[in-house]
Amino acid sequence: MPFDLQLTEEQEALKATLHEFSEDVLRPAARPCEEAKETSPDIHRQVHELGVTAPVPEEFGGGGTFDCVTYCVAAEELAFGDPGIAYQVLGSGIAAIVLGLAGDDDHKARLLPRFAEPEPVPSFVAYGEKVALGDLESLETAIDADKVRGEKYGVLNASDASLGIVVGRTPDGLGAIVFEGNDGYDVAKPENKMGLEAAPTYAVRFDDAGEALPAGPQLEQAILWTKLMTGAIAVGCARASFEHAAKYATEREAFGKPIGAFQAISHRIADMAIEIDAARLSVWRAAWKIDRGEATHADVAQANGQALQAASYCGDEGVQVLGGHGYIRDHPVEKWFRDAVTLSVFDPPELGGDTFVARSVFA
Amino acid sequence: MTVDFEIDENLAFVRDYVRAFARDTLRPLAREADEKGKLPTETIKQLGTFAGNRASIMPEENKGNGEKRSSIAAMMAVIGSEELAWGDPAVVLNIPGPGLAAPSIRAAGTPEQQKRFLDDIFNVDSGEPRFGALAVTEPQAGSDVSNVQTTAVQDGDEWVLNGTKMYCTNGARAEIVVVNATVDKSLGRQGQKFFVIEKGAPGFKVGKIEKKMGLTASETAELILDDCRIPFDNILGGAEALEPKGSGFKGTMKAFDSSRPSVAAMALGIGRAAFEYARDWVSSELPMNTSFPRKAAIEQKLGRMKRELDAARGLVWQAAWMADNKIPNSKEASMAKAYAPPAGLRACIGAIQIMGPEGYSKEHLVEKWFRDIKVYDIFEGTGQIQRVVISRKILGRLD
Ligand SMILES: Cc1cc2nc3c(=O)[nH]c(=O)nc-3n(C[C@H](O)[C@H](O)[C@H](O)COP(=O)(O)OP(=O)(O)OC[C@H]3O[C@@H](n4cnc5c(N)ncnc54)[C@H](O)[C@@H]3O)c2cc1C
Repeated sequence: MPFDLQLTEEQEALKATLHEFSEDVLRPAARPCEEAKETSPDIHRQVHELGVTAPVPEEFGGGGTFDCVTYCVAAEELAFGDPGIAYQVLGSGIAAIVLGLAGDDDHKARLLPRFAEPEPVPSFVAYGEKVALGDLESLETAIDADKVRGEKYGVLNASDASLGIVVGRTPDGLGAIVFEGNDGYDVAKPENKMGLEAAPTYAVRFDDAGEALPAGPQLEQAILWTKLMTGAIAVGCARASFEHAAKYATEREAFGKPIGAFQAISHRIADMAIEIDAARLSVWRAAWKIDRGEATHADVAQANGQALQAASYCGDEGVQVLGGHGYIRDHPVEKWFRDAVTLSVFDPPELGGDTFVARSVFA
Repeated sequence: MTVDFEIDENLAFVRDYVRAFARDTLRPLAREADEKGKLPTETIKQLGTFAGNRASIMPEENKGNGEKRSSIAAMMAVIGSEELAWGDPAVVLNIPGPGLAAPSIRAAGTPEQQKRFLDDIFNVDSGEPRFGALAVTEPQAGSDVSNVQTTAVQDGDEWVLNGTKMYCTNGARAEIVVVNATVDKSLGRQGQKFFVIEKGAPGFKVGKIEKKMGLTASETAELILDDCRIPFDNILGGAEALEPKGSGFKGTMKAFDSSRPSVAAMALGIGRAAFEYARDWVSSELPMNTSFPRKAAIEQKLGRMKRELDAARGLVWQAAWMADNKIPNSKEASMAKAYAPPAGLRACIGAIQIMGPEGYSKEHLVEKWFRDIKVYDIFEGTGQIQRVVISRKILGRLD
């Protein structure tokens, strides 16, 4: 096949379903979940039922898996509904993807079926660190056989997880340790965040033995997939701001015309659209490489960098286009701006991501 | 006179005084005020005492207005604003005083009105904190003030006002609110006049108090004028304002130009707070003496933050210096207002990203400064409106 950006019919159908779900269910749930500082179990269950957050192969009782491009299409759509809820539901299911791709037969048979149950599994995959942030090659968390020691942040479900995967460095490269139940680590503190509040996260200290996932290219690609989830959510977050602002620009009038008639506004709308497409294409390219088993760390760093830049830009301009109204909580744009900047901490391009990409240029 | 970037003793004294107050009094109140969305009355009273003291440390000549205005009043305002906002931008808006009501009353009020609305109300030492507010914005009139729909109709020795004002800072608690309303729709902007509404005026109602992204401790109110009756004398400029050449809309709006450099200075103060916080955090939390992957990026980001904030201060001081030297400065005031808030916002986001998980956490103040600062590019004229002003000064009106 030559270069092609056409989604399959199934992907289009999935996108349409999720879009409707986002509009009908996630949008109205966004503020209540933010205020409650958690995604309500009911909403979580509803998303889980859609089968995109924790895909399990049919042989283990699930509805089947799909590729990373499809995952990114789905994640964008959920994040378009609400980035905070999307972060919670996607992040809670991503362990199933890592196990499915990188677990051995025993892990799969033992651990995957629970993700196929109607109740979502409180689980996590932890990789980010305070100094390295999302730079997987600089992680300080050390893995030695089945032992792991280090500190992670932004960890979902840590207080009641029934399964967790922690990523660190082995003497040979990336490694991952699985914990069952919530033994084997200490919750240092809940993180009280300024954004993504529907996804409560924790700082966690690991210092114990669990089960090692087999190291190798499969694990590497699975961890990159986990990381790329952030980029896919960022694209949806950016698009939420963009669509709201673009609509507003045609409706709001000042000086006798729609504000979109002023180039100061219309050029921003255009720049947002450019940033979003550039970001989505970078994310899809990285996803496509993951699907081929060829993605490098730099591919994902680039994709996330581009997507987080788009989200912060669109978040900021989304508020700006609405003027004073954008600053008021009656409108959702201020929330998406906070969500975008919070997300950006996971892989900020100018504060690590780009340096990382630059290293790959000379590698 | 020669180019000199050092401020004189008077200004340095005021800066140090305000800086100490910002550090010791404002900063410690910041987090709780943000969470609760307001300050305890006792604290507001104490802030009032500070405001009184601040006035008393000003050199005598600074207290006047108009011609008596000192040669460093604008510089003093921007330097003070930067320090206060550094302490906390939301708490500052709780310092009692006439606030944004003052410039319009000074610009358009008769001597009698200035005494009645400013001196008498705000100089009395009743112990109760008093606020003034300015309500221009309406649901359909933000940047485009000419579209104001509120009307004022004379009825004997009273005015009857009807309309809705929104996003009025300190509007609900204000002793006096200055509003603009149109007395004659056919005259467009020239038909708009400014009026002073005193607390308790019949038909004056407080509507919704807004919930915001940031500046949560500052009151933002909707005001409803429903056959609101005020004395005829409350039209700024008195009966003369109604004459064809009477105190016009443009002249009064010009008074607000003087606040642009101060608003820019506040954004600068917030950005500087974030920069300094991140710098200190980096020195204590990260192994800067060794090499680690993000080090160069962090250094570069801190460098850029400092560069842009210093440049912003240059623009702010330029605008203030021009005002103090009676050089027309509307272009430069808008330049400062256009540049400082986005530069400050970049500093806040940079600080969050440098600090990583501690940056997005409510354990530290940088996330709050990020939420607070965004509105500085919106109120007192959006960044886009500043650019309209600047480019018209450069290119003339081409449309
Ligand atoms: C916290 C807060 C406090 C406030 N305090 C006060 C107060 O005390 N008193 C008061 O009167 N108001 C106050 N305001 C209101 C504030 O001044 C207005 O929100 C502001 O002037 C913008 O108006 P708007 O929100 O209606 O935006 P709009 O005017 O609707 O603007 C929407 C967008 O269109 C752009 N735009 C408009 N016209 C043009 C043009 N000609 N060219 C290019 N772009 C254009 C704007 O830049 C903006 O991006 C406050 C607002 C907030 C959020």
